[in-house]
Amino acid sequence: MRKSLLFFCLIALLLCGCAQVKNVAENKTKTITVTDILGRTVTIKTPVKRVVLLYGLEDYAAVGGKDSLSKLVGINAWRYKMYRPDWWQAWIEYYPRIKKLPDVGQPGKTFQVEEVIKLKPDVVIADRSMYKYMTEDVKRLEKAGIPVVFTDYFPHTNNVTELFNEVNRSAMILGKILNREERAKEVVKFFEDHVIEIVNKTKGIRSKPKVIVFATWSKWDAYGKKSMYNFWIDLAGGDNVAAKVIPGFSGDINPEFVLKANPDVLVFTCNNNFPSGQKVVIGYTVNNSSSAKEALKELINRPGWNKLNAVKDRRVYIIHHGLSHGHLFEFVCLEYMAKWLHPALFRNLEPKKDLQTFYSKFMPMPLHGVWAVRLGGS
Amino acid sequence: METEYYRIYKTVFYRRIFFISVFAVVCFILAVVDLMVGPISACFCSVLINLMYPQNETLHVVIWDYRLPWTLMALLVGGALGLAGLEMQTILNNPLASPYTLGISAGAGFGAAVAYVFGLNVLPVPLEFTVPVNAFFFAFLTCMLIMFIGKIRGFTSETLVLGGIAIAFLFHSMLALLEYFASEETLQAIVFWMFGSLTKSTLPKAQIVFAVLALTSAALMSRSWKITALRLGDEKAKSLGINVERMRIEVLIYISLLTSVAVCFVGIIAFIGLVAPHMARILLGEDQRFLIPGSILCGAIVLSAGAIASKVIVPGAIFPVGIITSMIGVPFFLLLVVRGRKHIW
Amino acid sequence: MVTVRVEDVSFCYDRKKVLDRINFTAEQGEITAVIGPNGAGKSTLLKTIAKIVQPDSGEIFFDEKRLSRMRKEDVSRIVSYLPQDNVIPGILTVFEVVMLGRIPYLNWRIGEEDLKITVKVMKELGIDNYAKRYANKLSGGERQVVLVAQALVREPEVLLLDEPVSNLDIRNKLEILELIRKITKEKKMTTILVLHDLNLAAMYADKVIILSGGRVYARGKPYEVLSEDVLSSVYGIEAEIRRNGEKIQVIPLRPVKCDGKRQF
Ligand SMILES: Nc1ncnc2c1ncn2[C@@H]1O[C@H](COP(=O)(O)OP(=O)(O)OP(=O)(O)O)[C@@H](O)[C@H]1O
Ligand SMILES: [Mg+2]
Repeated sequence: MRKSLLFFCLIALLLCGCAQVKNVAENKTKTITVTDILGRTVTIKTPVKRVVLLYGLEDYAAVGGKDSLSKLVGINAWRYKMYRPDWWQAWIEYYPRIKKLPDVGQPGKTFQVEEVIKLKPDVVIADRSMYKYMTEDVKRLEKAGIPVVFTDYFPHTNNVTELFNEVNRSAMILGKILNREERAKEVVKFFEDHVIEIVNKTKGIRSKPKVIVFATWSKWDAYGKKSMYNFWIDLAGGDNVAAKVIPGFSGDINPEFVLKANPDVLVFTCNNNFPSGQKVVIGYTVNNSSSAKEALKELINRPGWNKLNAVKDRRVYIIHHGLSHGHLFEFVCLEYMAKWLHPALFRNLEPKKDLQTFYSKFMPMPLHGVWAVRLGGS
Repeated sequence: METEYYRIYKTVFYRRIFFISVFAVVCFILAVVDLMVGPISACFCSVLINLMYPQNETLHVVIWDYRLPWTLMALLVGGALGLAGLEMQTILNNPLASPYTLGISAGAGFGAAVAYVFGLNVLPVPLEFTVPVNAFFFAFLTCMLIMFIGKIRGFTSETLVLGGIAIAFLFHSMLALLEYFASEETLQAIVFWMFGSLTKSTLPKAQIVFAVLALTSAALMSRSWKITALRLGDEKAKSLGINVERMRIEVLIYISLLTSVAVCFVGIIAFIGLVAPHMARILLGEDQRFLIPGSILCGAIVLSAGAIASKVIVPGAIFPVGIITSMIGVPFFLLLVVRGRKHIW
Repeated sequence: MVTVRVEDVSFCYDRKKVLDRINFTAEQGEITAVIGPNGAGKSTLLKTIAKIVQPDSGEIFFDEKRLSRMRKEDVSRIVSYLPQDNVIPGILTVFEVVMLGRIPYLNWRIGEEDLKITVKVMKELGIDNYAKRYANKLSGGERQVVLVAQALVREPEVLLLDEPVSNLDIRNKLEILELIRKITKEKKMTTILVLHDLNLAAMYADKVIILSGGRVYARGKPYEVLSEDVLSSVYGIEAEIRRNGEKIQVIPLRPVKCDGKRQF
């Protein structure tokens, strides 16, 4: 009895060994190795035919082009429906196949690792911010032979070189995986050119207008020192006064402080969520600016605000939250900031047009919708 | 001879009156300080002047639209929680009871989360009130559930505590489920709501809390002897002619109202309901005629102090007041417990 | 003043019959002692009279008034009941504890009258010197006296005390019972005591009711009912009873059978 067990084990071991050897042999023939944004070295079989995408459909499409969309076998639809309802609408209208893709969920929330394993992707692409929610899942996926790659376009610093470096690395990872390295370079260049254009102009600016950026989904939630808005405002030659009192990413600001600081510009960033729930007022699927204006009027209806410089001068804006971070077209947010903070200096700058160009050059769909609106003004 | 004992009673009586007056004075001082503290500095005089008429327009707006509602809300909600906690401890005969023991906070939290996650409204009300109305509704629903359990199994303190804890767990898990599916921003809103915050205070809301607090405390005051008798034990209370079960139900309804109204506007501030009554009891004894105002004032003191601290700690930003109250309240409370010569319960 | 008449009272806890067709009358100005083994139903009987529990059948009359038809508040003005366990919860001074006995009469403002009676009772019971002490920091015996005082301040017409002297030393036992007798006679109160000490019952009770297994085993004057046979069959003990006219003295000797089984 015992003997036969031992024998069985031996056989099993042998078989395993064979399998491994065989794998290695295969790997040698057609694999690529990429270093992802976390510095992890990941080996991926090529050509990549099956992709599960947890973040950044826009960047994926921008780098990979239209035909890369057909490689998708699973997607984090949860995130889209929750945070970018308008974009989701656009994607499923132009590419109904996306709607039918299995929803593998958001890491830390609804992520289903088994579903991913079942889909047998050649690679899983995720955002750096998701890593802390899926460290265990990554190990599981790797055990199942599924490589996971992390990218990140989020501006973590106001240092342009570092920002470019990260964006470049992320885009090149995609380029390598999808075998579109030339195109990736093009996109990155487009991004860098537009950022540099702004930064060159704002470099010497002395008088920095005061600005506060509020979120639409929580009444007094303002963006602090470590937020992307702080970096954009910095690069655009403005003074994010909320950064003085909110050392972290965002937090509730004392309403009095707003009155005291008396900002010259107020910006509301909107992902179409409000304290009362989801309501699409801005973005791809919105045809005119009236709903956003309505929302803005509601948002600035707070005691004492009619005395604020920003409100008196009508320099109150609402912008689509998706422009501000995490995508290769986030330079558009910087452009809007620059234009709003220094309207004279950037008289000829047309952020929407630049976004349009980005779309026509790189995206597999035309640009529609309303992306930024000014209160009551022209 | 007789007058000698009369004097004993009088001295006790006056000592209690004295403590209550001290509480009231401290309350008042804290309220004034609360009005003076903020990013826009204001001295006592300018606060007073701008309360009357808009001498400085910004300050006038700040005081009337932000500081006054916050200050009043801190006092009233603190008072409501103190009173609710006192009566909860009394009817459950349990020093660990607080307005949240019976899952009322969990219910309220769940209601708020439902509003945040689904934007669902249980009653047709304006947008601004979605969250409070839902919170109130579910808090009150929790109380009704507990009543229901009591109805089946008898209104003993054990039944109520155990039933309440079970319901609390139920709502906590449902809340966790909602949080699980909520987006990051919504989650943040829910968490912030659960911490408790005065930022959403307005004068009408303060008026509502005031009305509820005034009515319930009047009702409870008029029954103060009966409630005091509950402390002697069910049998004793019954032999004193008190319908113990009905008394519990009545008081439970008042507690429900107080707690629901308090949590629905400012979220969950857990510490006050537990500690304010103890502070009052240590200094005032069991007599509800003194304990009721005493607990209200103690609750108001603790929350006002917390409100001031929440503005001062990170000037310009708002620190959740619920966190602060525990942090400043616990040492003070422990001092009373450890240094006090009297027993606590 | 009222006479308490218990007629055919039965009571069950869940399924267990605790009182089985109890009949007796307690006269005003008399002390009625209820005696019997543990678990006989003595406390339960007192609770039915205090209207804390409702009998399943039968009726209790206060003179001609039916107890079941009386309101709880009204009953509480007539009856004072001291439960068997003597805990005093809360942060209360002795003075307050005693005064709380007057809750049925207290107004929002405490009246002169209430204070006077409180002081008087405390003096009578000799606890006036610790009026300001905290009640749950007293010894078991001291606490018991305080609770007796709490029962007395209501100036009840019917006084129900469940083992009021069980924790007291021998002198205090006698003093307190002496006092209870005095007040009973003076005020023409109807007093019903549960006592375990048969000698005390014999000394102070005008009438004794022996409960056993929820039934009245015997009732009458102490010297009539207490006999060797009764004690043997109710308690299962051998005892010697010395008689001296109407005075009797019980000297317990030994349990009849030492089988280790408790009767309850
Ligand atoms: N709350 C209750 N629930 C169920 N049964 C009870 C309850 N209280 C008492 N009993 C039962 O009723 C019977 C009578 O109890 P009771 O307290 O009247 O006895 P007692 O004569 O006072 O005894 P003791 O001399 O020990 O005080 C006992 O058998 C007891 O087990
Ligand atoms: Mg008993």
